[in-house]
Amino acid sequence: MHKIKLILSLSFLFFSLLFADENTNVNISNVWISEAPPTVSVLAAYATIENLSDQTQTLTSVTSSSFSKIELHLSKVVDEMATMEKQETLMIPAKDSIEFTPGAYHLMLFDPKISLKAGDKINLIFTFADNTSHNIEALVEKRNNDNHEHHHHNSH
Amino acid sequence: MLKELSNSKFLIPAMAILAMFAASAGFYISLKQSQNQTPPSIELTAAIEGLFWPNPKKILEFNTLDQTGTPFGLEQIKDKWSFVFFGYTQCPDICPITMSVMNESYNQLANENSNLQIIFVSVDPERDTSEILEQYVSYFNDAFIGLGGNAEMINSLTKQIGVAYFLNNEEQKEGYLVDHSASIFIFDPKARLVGKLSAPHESKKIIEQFTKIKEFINAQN
Repeated sequence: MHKIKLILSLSFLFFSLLFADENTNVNISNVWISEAPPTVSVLAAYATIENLSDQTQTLTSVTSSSFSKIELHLSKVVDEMATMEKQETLMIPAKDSIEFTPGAYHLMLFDPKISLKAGDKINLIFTFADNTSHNIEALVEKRNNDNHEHHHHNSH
Repeated sequence: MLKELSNSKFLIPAMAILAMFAASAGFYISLKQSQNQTPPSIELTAAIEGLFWPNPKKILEFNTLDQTGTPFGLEQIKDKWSFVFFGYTQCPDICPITMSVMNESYNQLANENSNLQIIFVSVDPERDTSEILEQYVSYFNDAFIGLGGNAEMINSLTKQIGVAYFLNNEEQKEGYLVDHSASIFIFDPKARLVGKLSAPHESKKIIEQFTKIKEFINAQN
């Protein structure tokens, strides 16, 4: 009985090593872009990034052919003043997660190539310090502040 | 030990300590009573978060332009309750959150508050023209008002309220950020700054605070 267990766990270990790819370190979910008035050329996107690994994972960039530039920002209210701080990179501690959420961390998407409407789908590429990339489809949605559950669909 | 306590040698210090306790307890009780004697109206104002009372600031003449390019000043806030928020249209996070929360609040308040108006004041005169403001505010609600104009016009209102704003990364010619107040200011129908709603904003909280402030102001008139 013990032998079987040992063989099973060893083979599991072997196969998980064999098929371990870049995508097992992090899980990116709940990715959505907020619809904005048509004259607005800076949009916000939100997501949850979960670090499944035992090491810190560092998000270094997010890119998309649908925007001229994407930056990581942190919204803050300090002494009643709203401000945004650009983040060059973002560290996600081991076995932890970071929420990009309205009023806090968000992706700033500059100059959309086309006017985006709720229901549109846009590809975003999240790149990490270990050079792994994740191509994620983000859904454009209207803001809905009173029902946060609304955004908890899984887009990964 | 008991024997020793009954000795006068110990009795005197023990009595002294007891007397000190009694005196401080008496002082504490009288302090509590004096605190309870403050006028009830001040206690009430302390219970209403964000209320500016007594002596709310009277708004004086200001000269901004609305989203149609029409002059908008003191006359346009008289006899109305106004929610006033300062932001800029290229702000991706805090401003659209606040605008959509104000929309949710307005939709619930408008029926019973026909004289409520929601005002977005742009603090980005370089980029926010009347046309842009028109499209911006109407995206959230057709009834919303968007105020702008040149810097001097905008300052005629911001300086009275005491809100600051400044360019965050001026070296970037395009895509610069503006730091601005995160609060929603409340003007009453007598054109007085009677309250401030602090971020983070939620429609439930806004409705509760506004209802309390309005009830209080109406009771004073």
